Amino acid sequence: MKTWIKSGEPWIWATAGGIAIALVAVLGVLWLTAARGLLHFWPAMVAETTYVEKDGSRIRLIGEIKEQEEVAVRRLIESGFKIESTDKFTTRYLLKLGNRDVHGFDFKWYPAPLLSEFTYPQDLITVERREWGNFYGHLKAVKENGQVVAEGVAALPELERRIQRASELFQKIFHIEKDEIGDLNYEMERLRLKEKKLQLQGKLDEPARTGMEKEREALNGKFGALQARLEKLRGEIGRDSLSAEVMNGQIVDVPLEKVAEAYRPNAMGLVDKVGYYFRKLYAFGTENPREANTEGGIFPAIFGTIMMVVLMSILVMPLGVIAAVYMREYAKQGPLIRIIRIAVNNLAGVPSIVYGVFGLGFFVYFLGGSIDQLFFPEALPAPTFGSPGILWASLTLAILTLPVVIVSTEEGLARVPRSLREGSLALGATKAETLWRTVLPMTSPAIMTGLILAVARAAGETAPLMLVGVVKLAPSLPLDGHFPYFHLERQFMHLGFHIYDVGFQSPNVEAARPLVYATALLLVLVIVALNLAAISLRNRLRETYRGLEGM
Amino acid sequence: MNTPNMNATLPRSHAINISAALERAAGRENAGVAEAGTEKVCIETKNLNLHYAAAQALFNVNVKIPKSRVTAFIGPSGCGKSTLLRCFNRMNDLVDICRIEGQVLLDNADIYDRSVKVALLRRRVGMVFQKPNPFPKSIFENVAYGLRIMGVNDKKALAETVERALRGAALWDEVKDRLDANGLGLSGGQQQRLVIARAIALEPEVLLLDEPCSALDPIATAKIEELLLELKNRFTIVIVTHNMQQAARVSDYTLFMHMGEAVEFNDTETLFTTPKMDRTSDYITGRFG
Repeated sequence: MKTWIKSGEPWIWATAGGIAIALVAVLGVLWLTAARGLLHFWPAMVAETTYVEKDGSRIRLIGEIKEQEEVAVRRLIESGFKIESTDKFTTRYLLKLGNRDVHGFDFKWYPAPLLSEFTYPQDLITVERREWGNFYGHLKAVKENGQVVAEGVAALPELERRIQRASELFQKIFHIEKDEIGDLNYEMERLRLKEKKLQLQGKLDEPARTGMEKEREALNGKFGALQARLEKLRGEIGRDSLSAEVMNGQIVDVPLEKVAEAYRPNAMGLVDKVGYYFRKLYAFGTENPREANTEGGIFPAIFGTIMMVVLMSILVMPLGVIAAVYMREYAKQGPLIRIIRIAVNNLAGVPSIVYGVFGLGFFVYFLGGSIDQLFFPEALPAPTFGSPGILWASLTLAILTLPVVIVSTEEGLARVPRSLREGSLALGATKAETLWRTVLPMTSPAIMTGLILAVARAAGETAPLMLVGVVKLAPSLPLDGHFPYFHLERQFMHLGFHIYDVGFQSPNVEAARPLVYATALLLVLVIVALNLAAISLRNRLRETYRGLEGM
Repeated sequence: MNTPNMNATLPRSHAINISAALERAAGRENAGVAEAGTEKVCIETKNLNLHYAAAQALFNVNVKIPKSRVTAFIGPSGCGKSTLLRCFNRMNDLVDICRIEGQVLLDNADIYDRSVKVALLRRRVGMVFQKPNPFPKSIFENVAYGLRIMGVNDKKALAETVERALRGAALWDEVKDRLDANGLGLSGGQQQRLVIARAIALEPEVLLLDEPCSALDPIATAKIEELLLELKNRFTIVIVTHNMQQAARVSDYTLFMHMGEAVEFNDTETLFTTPKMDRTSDYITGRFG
């Protein structure tokens, strides 16, 4: 035993064990989020069964089986279920019954002994609606203006055709509402601000006023035309509906304008299901959220996260590098610099929410407020930069990650061999030229390492962002077609906050939970992607400056 | 302070020294020197004292480095020969604790004068270091570095100067096909010649070499020495070396230093054959060092 310890083998085992634990932890997180999140998009079979109510009557249930678990029979009996069974344990199922508007609830647990055998009738349809969540039922008919146009077997193809038509109309309406009317509103607002500005400057004379009045009239005219088109489209989209029998036997009409998609999950083949799966996965990454973020996609959150991290990188790099260069190259090394260095290192340990508070107080209220007073007086009292926005969020995170960049840049600078600096100086370069042409390029891999760490920290940060710019639902992206294209004052969505919001603030937590996992997985993927980009850049730089170690 | 010998040797006019040396060296093929009679002085130090914080590294050094000749500094480790060399292009300025008294004259102008721009001085006085230190850039960019700093950006001019410098450093034939390759990919000897090319691309007046061959194998060393003999027509060369054979092979004049003092300066052959000072003869005969 003693010789075994002396041989150093336990040490090898201990180190390998450490690595193994780290690997298991990382893979475990990935596996959990992937398994829970990615399965959500697979088209679930819709089961039909009957259930014995407490009064002995039987009711029909239609829904997706979401979960099942073992439960003690005694507990079920205690909580009022009438179960006659000698088993100690039994199964209970969590059914997603959908039709929230009809039944008033979405998810419910049912003990197995009170359920009959599950069947999967082919004609059951799942309807994904833009409001109220999923709808399940037996498709009966398709209606146009209340008149039945197709029934029975013919109903499904007719339904698909009409959903297609309704979706196209919906897209048109969406385009008019969002883009065209959005543009008009933007112009209107611009006009209003221009008028206010002239007024504030005392230059609002008669010709200017009439000119603006004319412009406004033209805009109003356009707006009226759009309104009319919208009215017409709305009339058209409301034309069709489907009627289906839900589980309590009621026939329910669902207007097609509310329907995103309808399909028969029990009749789908594997190919259809795979196609459906990838379509949903793609939609998740590219679409806007619906239903208080519990449905639809998370594109704005992905976009906001990436844009914020990129902005943060652009801000933190020069700040950190310049600070490090001063501390390492120019400042006289003494107690003062040592104290500053310790302070910088300690900054990395300050809780991030403190940075959030600082960002809100200093950037948003003080800096932003001052900018508003100076440059956007016409918009006051509505704030422009004086409210949380992506610029302030990025700046706050830049301050938060500054220590990391400073420390790794300093280390990089320290590693540049003296002989190279002397070589450059001996050729008649000044200190600044030496820094710029030789030292900083050679430090670039280390700077990139700092940036990688900063990105990893910033992308995952959530708490301070809630104070300085992240919102549950941003009406528009911080990048769009309106001049000046980058709207740094806008609020934005963020994956980290989205997870918190969907997981803990949502009205329908049960339905949203898989989305939390999917969003978490996506956040991890985004961070990995950002890191890989930075790492590959660093490796390219390292390749350029290889051979450095030998000097 | 025990410096009678040095004071005896150096403050006397350099010309006397040289002519005395020449008399002794009569019959040597070095006709140029013989004809010149007197050598022009390139660098001169006057009562140079140098301190690193409390420790003094150079004691009252007075030397005259002749123009367009190869001068070697020899002496045991730590005798101050590198320190003296680094005074000539003010490389010691980089050391915070370094303090200098006395004068260093380049063409009779004090290089430690306030009005002197260090960067310009270093263009006139090039330096090659002990370990090859090419920049992690392409071979071309290594040689063009000093020119770019001077503000030369014309492609043609750069290409011409780089080629001339590489030819001058006897490296052109080996690297002409891979000027874009990283300078760090060359062998040690090639790297050192690259560094020499980098220095001579600026057409300096003086080339300082600080033990340029100590990190090289004998073949690479031979090449560098051959190169120095070619370059001495164009530049004033000062070389610090540990290797007495090398000093004897490449230099016209030799300065022996010991304990921070310039002990004896003479033309190389005289210094090695008939040294005046006991310390010099002890060193070159291998009794210490």
